Amino acid sequence: MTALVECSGLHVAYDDHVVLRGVDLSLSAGEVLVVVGPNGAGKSTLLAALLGIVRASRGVVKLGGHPLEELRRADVAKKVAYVPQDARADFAFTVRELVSMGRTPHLGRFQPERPEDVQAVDHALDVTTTRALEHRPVSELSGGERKRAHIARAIAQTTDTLLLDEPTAALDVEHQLEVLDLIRELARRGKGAIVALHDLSLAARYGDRVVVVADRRIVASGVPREVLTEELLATWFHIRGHVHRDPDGGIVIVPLERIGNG
Amino acid sequence: MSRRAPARVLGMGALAVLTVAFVSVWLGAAHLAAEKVLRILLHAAGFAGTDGSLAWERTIVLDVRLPRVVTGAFVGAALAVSGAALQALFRNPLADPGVIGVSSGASLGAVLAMQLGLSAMERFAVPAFAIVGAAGTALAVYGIASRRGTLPVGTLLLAGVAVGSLASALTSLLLSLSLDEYEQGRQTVRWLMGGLEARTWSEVAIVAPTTLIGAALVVASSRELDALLLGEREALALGVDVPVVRRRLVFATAVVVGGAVAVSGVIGFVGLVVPHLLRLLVGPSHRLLLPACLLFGAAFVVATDLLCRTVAAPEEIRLGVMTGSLGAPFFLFLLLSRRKEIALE
Repeated sequence: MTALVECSGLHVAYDDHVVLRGVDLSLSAGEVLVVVGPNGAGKSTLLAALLGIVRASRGVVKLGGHPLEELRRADVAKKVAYVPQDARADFAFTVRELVSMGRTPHLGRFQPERPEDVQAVDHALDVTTTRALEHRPVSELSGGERKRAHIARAIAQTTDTLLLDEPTAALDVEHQLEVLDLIRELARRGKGAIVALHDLSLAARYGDRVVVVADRRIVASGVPREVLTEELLATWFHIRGHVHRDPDGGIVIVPLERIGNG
Repeated sequence: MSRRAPARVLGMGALAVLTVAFVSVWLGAAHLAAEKVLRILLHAAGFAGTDGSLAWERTIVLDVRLPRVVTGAFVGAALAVSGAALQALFRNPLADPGVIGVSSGASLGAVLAMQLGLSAMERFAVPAFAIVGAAGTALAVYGIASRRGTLPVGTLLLAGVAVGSLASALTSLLLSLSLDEYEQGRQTVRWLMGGLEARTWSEVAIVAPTTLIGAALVVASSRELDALLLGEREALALGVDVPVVRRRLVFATAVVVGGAVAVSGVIGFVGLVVPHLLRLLVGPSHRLLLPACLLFGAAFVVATDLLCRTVAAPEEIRLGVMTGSLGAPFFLFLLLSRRKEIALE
C-alpha cells in the first residue's frame, strides 16, 4: 500500500542554519505517528516541511506517492490538513466561518458551498464538540475552544492525513483526551495522523509509533514501549525519569529530576 | 455589534449610492428642480421620450455634475476595496493605501508624467505612471516590513512612512524643479490636494476600467483573502498559493489605487474607515465585505464631496482635506486602541 506521507533524506535549512537533517519517515493509513522531542529540536519544522509550508533544501517528500513539488497547493490541501501550534485568533470570524474555510481547496473561486460542504462542516463541528460555539467569534473563545475550532477546520478539509502540531497545548486534561481520542477514532476510520506532542505518556498511549526528534534529526523511532526508555530520557531530554510499564503493555513516564550538565 | 443579513446590507449600500448620487446631481450652484433632474437623467438613460429641459440644464446635469459624481463613486469604490484588500494582505487593520505610502507612490508617478509633459500627449500616461508608482511602493513596503512571512504592525507603519515620505519628497523635488512654469505647478499642487471638481467623462473613462478590473481581481480572491487572515502558514495549508495571490493582489490594488489617484489626487483614509465600519456590520468574510466596500465606498466619497461643495458654498473645501480631517482622528482612534499590541514589538 502506498504511504500517505513519506520523506527520505529530508533536509531543512534557513539561511545556512540547518534545522533538520536527513529525516526519513513514513505514515500509513490508519496509523497515528507521534513526534516527540525537546523544544527547538525541529518537530514543528518537520511537520511544516511535510506539506511544503517550509521548503526542504534536500530530500524528497511524497504525498500518496506523488512528489510534493509536483503537486499544486490546492492538491496538497486535499491530501493533508494541518493545524499549527500557534493558530491565530485575532479575527472576528465565527467558529462556523473558520471551519468552513476547511472547504477552501474543494471549492472553485465563485462556487457557493454545496450540500456536501455543509455536511463536512457540520460533521467537523459535531466530532470536535464545537457545534454549540458555531456562531461565536473565534476571538472570544477560550484557548481550548479555539484549539478545537482549528482542529474542526482541519477535519472539515476531509483529507486522508492530518498533521497536528501540539494539538493538546492549552487544553485541560479532559479536552486533551478528547482531542487525542478523536484522532484515534479518525485513524480507526482509515485516516493517518502525525501529531507533535510534549506529553510522553500521552505519546505512548496514543501513538502507534513514536518518533523522537532531537538534535535536528530523528534519533529513535518505533513502538512507544520500545523507544521511550529511561536511557532515551536521559540522553535526549536530559532528565532522569521513571518508565512505568503496565502489564497490559501501556507505559507511563514519570519525570523525576533534571540531569545537570552545566 | 451584531451582524446584519447580507442581502440587506448590500441593498442598503445600493440605495445609499443611488440616493447620494441623485442628491449630488440635483444640488449645486444652479438651482434645478429635483423632478427636472430626474427627467433629464431618465431621458439620457433612454427611458423617457422628451424631458422638456433646456440645453444648459442638460449640460449642467449630464456633463458637469454627473461625471463628477460618477468619478467620485468609482474613486470611493476603488479606495475602499483596495483598503480592504491591503488589510488582509498585510494582515493588519491599519493598512490603507494612504497610510502605507501606496497613494504617495501613485502621486509620484502621476506628477512625473505631468512634469515630463506626457499627460498632454497621451491621456493614459498619468494613470499608467500612477499605477507603476503604486505597485513600486507596495512592493517596497512589503519587502522592507515582512520578515519570514510575518508583518509586524510597527514595522509596517514605519516602512510605509519611510517609503511614502521618500515618494513625497521626490514629488516635491519634481515640483520645485518646475517652479518657473507657474501654471503647471499650480495645477499639479491643486491636483495633489485631492478633489473631484471639473471632472469630465474622460476621467470616468480612466477610473471606471481601472476600478472594475482591479476590483474584479480582488473580489475573485475573496476566499484566499479570508484564508490569508488566518496567517500565511494556514493559508498555504488550505491550498492557497500565497506568493501568486500576493502578486495578484499587489497588482490589483496598484491598478485600483493608481487609477483613483490619477483622476482625483490623494484622498486619504477612505480605505481605512469604510472597511473598518463595514466589518462591524457584516463581519470579516470578504465575499460580503468586498461588495459592501464597493457600494459604501462609492456612497461615502460622493456624500463627502457633496459636503465639500455645499458646507461653505460658494467656496469649495478640497475633498482630500475633508477626508483627511475626518479620517485622521479615526486612524488615531484605531491606533490608540491597538497601542498595546504595537508597543509590544
